[in-house]
Amino acid sequence: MDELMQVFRQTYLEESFEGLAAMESNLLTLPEGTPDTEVVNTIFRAAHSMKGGAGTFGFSELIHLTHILETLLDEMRSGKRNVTTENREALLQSVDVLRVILDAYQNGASIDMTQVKAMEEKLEAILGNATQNDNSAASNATTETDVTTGYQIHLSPSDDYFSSGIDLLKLLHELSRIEGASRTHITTHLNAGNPLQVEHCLIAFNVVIEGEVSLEDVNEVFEWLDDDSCHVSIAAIQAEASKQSTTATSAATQQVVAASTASATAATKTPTTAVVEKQESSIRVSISKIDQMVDMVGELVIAQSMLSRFGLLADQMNAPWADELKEGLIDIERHTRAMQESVMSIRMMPISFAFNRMPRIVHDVSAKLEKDIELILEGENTEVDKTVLEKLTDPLVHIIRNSVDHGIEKPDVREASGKPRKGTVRLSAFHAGGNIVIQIKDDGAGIRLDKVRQKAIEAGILTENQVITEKENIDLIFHAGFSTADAVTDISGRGVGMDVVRRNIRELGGTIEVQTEQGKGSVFTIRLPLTLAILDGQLAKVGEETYIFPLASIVESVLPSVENIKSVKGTFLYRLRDVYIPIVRLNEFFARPQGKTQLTDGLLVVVENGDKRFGVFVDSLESQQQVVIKSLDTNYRKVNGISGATIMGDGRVAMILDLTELSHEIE
Amino acid sequence: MEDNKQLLTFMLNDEVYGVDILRIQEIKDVEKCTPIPNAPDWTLGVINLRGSVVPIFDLRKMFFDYHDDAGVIIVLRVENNGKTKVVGIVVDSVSNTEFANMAEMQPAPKKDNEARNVFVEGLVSIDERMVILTDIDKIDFFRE
Repeated sequence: MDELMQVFRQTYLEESFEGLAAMESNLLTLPEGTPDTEVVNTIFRAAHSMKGGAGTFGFSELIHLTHILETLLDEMRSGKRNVTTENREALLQSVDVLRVILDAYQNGASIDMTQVKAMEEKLEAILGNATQNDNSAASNATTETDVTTGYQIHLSPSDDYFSSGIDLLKLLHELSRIEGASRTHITTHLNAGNPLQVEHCLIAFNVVIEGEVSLEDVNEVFEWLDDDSCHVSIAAIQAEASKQSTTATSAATQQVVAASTASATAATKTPTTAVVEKQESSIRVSISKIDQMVDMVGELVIAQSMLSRFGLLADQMNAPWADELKEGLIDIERHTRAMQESVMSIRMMPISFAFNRMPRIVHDVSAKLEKDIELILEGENTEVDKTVLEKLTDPLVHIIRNSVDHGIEKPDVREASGKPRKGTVRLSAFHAGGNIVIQIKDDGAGIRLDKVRQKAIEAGILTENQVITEKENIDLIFHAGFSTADAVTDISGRGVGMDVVRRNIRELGGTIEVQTEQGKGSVFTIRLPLTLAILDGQLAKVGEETYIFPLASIVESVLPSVENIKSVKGTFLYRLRDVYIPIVRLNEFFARPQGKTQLTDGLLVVVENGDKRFGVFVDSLESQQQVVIKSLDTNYRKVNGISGATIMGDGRVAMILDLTELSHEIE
Repeated sequence: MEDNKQLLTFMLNDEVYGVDILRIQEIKDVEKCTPIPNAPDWTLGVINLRGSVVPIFDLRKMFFDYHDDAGVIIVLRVENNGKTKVVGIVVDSVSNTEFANMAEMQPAPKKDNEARNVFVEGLVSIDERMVILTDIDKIDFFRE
């Protein structure tokens, strides 16, 4: 396959995955009963574009399934079939199957055809039922209208049609050559009211084909047109209005105007479907290109901090050009910062990409457990870094599953305890103090702390008489191999959930906290840094070496006084306003023969990590500056206590402290 | 000609070693490194190589347990667990680039120095001098 085809193929796959997501979310909102045409249309469009592309790329496994899917959706759209729980579930399942197929294409894996076949049969069974139940007139109409005395076609290209690259004249030519066409008649008209723009397409066409032409052939001509770039309506010209066609299988013919109203005026008017949302124009850029830009901007930040030192130098030298230099430097700094912000914002994506998976999960799990649960999403437009987003989805799925499985009670139990039968899970995202906060709140039973304790003892995590605080008790759920579910189900309870959740979140430099109240519910709060690439740092010296603290974690710094230092079994504590905090000596932790040893000679940086407070002993504090985080992993490996390295203004490398790992050291 | 491989030769412990020249990124003077906490003593630390953070390993300390202020850094690419990493190795000096006929490679006699044997691929003779061929990927730079 040549390179260009490869690119198209990738785009197709990406769009198909987006299409699947759209299908899924729309299916979930699709109410039972008479179908909402607009929603069904959206689902139909997604299925259809998938089918169209599948043909092009030879994804034969997809074509048949999407075809059946289309037929089913089409019947719903035309009002011939109601939405029932059964067929909605079937549609949802076929979305899953399609996703499996697409995944396989993407990864070059083989496709489990039995699964696909089973799905096809299931859909066909549903379709078969309908044909029997339907009156024969409907099926008659379908067959009879396949060949008609002609078609009236209205083509109205959108303004930016020319950019689609499809030659409209060729299509018109093609129409005239359809088998059975005895005469084609084309009239054009100019869309008035628009100021003339040479790049816009302002012409619309009316085509009348006479002869015994099959609708399929007509549709085929428009197969490549998508509905956004050119609106096509096809109406059969027939003597009897009752024999109108209501089936259409191509996106180009998503609106089929009934023959009885197929007068020229009706056909030329904009059809009654939803106006396609005007989307902000955008381009697809590969993430590696953006990362390259992030890197380059990082270099710029370093170069800028290198230069800014000369501003001070010029001042000290009383250079006549000092002011001009400083002004220039300030400008550079401002622009660099602005540029950095905008580059970082490219990497940002709305958290809805992660949130959108949740309604389906809640739907499936609650159905399986016979629970009635409403999922409320808030702040879906909160933007997070793409890397964060990718690593966040799995933990969120775990927590949501847990809330549905362990948290929310069955409707009868809820009613008995005076709660509404329907449980609520609220998933929200918002910004707070340089962090992104994600909260998962349920109004379920809360975590049974006594049960957690009991399980922990059984699992050997805790000894029988060990005294722990309530907080520690809750934190037991994050312990590896811990599960309170009485039975291991396929939903949860295998005990590989919460420890993975916490690890993933820690990897992102974030924290997770749990609050719970018996009988009222639980709240999981995840805090994540805004970005992973750049950090506001506080430089600190230990001997010759410079270490960087994440500025956001520093509470204060104190000059230790002798009377407040206390030594307990070899570890030092410091009394800070009546609270004893543990002390970590960087030179000891890192086994470096550097820096001061007497606590009273140096400085204690009080930091907060999660809910832990401790003091880090350093020689002195230096300046604060933005630093670009470089992974040590790239050319070396992960180092305990170090989250990464950065390059300083003078070109030297400095290590960035990982306070989470330092805090483990204290335990 | 096919079996001819171009090598960069360097001195280490008074012996001539050769490494595939296609691995070499650059050669630079020894500079002050930023130490990596809790790393083995032959890991000198990391340097800033035009924006990349590159670890530096002293092969003399690692395999022959001696130290010399003089020396030179060879920056090269190594494969580690399927990932390509850029590292610097410190050797006594860099000699030359030479062609070696790989078909004439002899197995190296195993010396007592077990550690060194890991990365010795064989011996070739270039202009009647013995050159010890190295397989740089065999060295476990990243152990704790």
